[in-house]
Amino acid sequence: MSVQQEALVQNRKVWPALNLVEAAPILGDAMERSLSTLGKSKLPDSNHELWRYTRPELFGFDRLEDRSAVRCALRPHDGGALLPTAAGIEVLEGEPARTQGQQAFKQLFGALGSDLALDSFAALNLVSASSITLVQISKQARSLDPWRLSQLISNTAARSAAPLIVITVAAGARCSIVEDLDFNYAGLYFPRVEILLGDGCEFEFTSVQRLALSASYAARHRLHVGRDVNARVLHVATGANASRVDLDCRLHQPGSSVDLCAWYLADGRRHVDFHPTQDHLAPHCRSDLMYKGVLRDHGRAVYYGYIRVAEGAQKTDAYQTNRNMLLSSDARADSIPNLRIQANDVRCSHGSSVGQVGTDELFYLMSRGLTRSMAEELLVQGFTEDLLTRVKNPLIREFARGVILERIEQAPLTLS
Amino acid sequence: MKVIEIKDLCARIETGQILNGLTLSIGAGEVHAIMGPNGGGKSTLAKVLAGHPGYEVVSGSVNYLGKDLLTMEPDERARAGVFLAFQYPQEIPGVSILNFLRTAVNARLEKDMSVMDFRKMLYEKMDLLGMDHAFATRFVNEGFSGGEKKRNEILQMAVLKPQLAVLDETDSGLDIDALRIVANGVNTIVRNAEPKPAVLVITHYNRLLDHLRPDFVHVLSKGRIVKSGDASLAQELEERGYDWLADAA
Repeated sequence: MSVQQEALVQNRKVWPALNLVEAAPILGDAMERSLSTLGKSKLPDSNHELWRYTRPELFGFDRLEDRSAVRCALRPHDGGALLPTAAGIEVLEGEPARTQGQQAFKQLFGALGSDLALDSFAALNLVSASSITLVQISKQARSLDPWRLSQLISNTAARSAAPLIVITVAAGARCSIVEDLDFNYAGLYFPRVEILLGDGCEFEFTSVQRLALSASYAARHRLHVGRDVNARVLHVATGANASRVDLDCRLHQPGSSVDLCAWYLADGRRHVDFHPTQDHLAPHCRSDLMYKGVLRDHGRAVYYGYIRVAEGAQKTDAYQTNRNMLLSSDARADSIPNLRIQANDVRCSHGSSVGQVGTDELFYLMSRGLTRSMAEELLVQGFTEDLLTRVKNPLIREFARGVILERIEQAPLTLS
Repeated sequence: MKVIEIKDLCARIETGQILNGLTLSIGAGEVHAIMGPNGGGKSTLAKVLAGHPGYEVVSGSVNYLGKDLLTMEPDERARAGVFLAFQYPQEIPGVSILNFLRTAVNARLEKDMSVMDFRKMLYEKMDLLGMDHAFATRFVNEGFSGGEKKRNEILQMAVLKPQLAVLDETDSGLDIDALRIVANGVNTIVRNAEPKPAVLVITHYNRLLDHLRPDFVHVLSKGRIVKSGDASLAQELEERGYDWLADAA
């Protein structure tokens, strides 16, 4: 019996409900590691540091026993007729995705695949994969006109869906990918997106989560960054009753620069959680994170960010800022930025704030004739605009602004 | 016609009483200057007139164009034509001057001016104050120099067409050239306005008054007007300071 099969058997004892067979062969070593990580663990529980502020029960992970596959397609975001292949992009699913995805990992980062399961939650995410899609972006891709990565749940009666999407970006390529999760699904959506960035590429990933209130969402997005890469990631989270994104940004090679932005809205009784990690494993890299959230009603938001600078990652520039605007005294935000620095020649900073709308700002606007609700709306717009100015691609910025304004208009943002 | 009549106004903040029976009336088209030592209550008066929630009116009355100003919310006052040029204008990140002022003008004038019409009007006023049109798309006061903030305040006065304008140390932070431009801007706004506004200028220095030529100068000390006169009083204060007025307070 192979190590993998042993682990599988061992896991079946701990995870009788999970059908792991279909997922097991996907990523070879990584899968074995995940299975053994899981073997010693159990479903996420609130005693774990990573679940201290977000109850895992909100997500209903037991629903993973009933998973649907997810089919993916890529089309121009502006609705044009251009085919991905004509732009140097290939989308593979099923067995070809499996084998080639594995090769891509190996080619780009050697044995890197083995760190795909950082903890038991990451392992659960990986072994739950119910389908695999590989998006291969060749160096023929030279444009930042966004592509829309659509995701279709094959069996919407299934209680969960957990696609594994691997995006490989060849050295020197330029590309912008948008996922706009706006489908009406009442289950747990539990995707994993692995993004492998080859040397000198420029890549944008935009993830908009506006699922129905009946959905739960827990995503793991991982960037494996090569040398001299420019990457920009934007998250917008306005949907689902419970939403969590674990973003692992791993800078493996020197000379890269990454900008991470997010905008979220927690209203009603919605819970929004972000766990971003900026992992500086190589010297001379820069990462800058700005996450901004608006909370109203009984909304809850959790920000748990980490900057880790490994030994030897000198000349690191790493920043993280989280700002929360509270429009209700019943809303609550926990903002926990962390630093772990093991190099001595670095520039790192973190900042976080949680606050009601500023009295002085409110007074200033009202003293010019704006009613309280107009002033608040303008301040929320400004709070948002301030983030959007960081979004470099004007097409992405306009799209994100549209999504956000539409959502704000649906639920007027006044003190409640 | 009096635009504003303040009678026996007493006001306090958390730490203590600042205004102690202040009485002052300003007619349409009149420019009044308030001078006085630090801590005398000048800025408090400005904030109380604008309705800042941090200031509590203990007693007294303020009649503004026949209405009880003190019962009005800050935004109601502004829509009724009260304008305060702040000593320390607030930064509003992410909100452009264009967007902010169009919202404000539409609220004040109860109309819905198109972006194009508003932009045209805004540019005219910017020209009046020697401001680069590029300021229109900058975020309100963010990264502005002290002088730019003050110009931006007067720009707001120009577009909002107030009937009572209170300028709280608008001259601080302005160099001599900027002071002249801003003062001329204020004069032009007042001269062209119909009906004529009442203007209350709070300042420490004669320089601004040389340009604005106030009809009356008052000294505010320990929360009361202790001396009133014409423009020559400002000159006298510049030469003699405030100490000689101590007895009057």
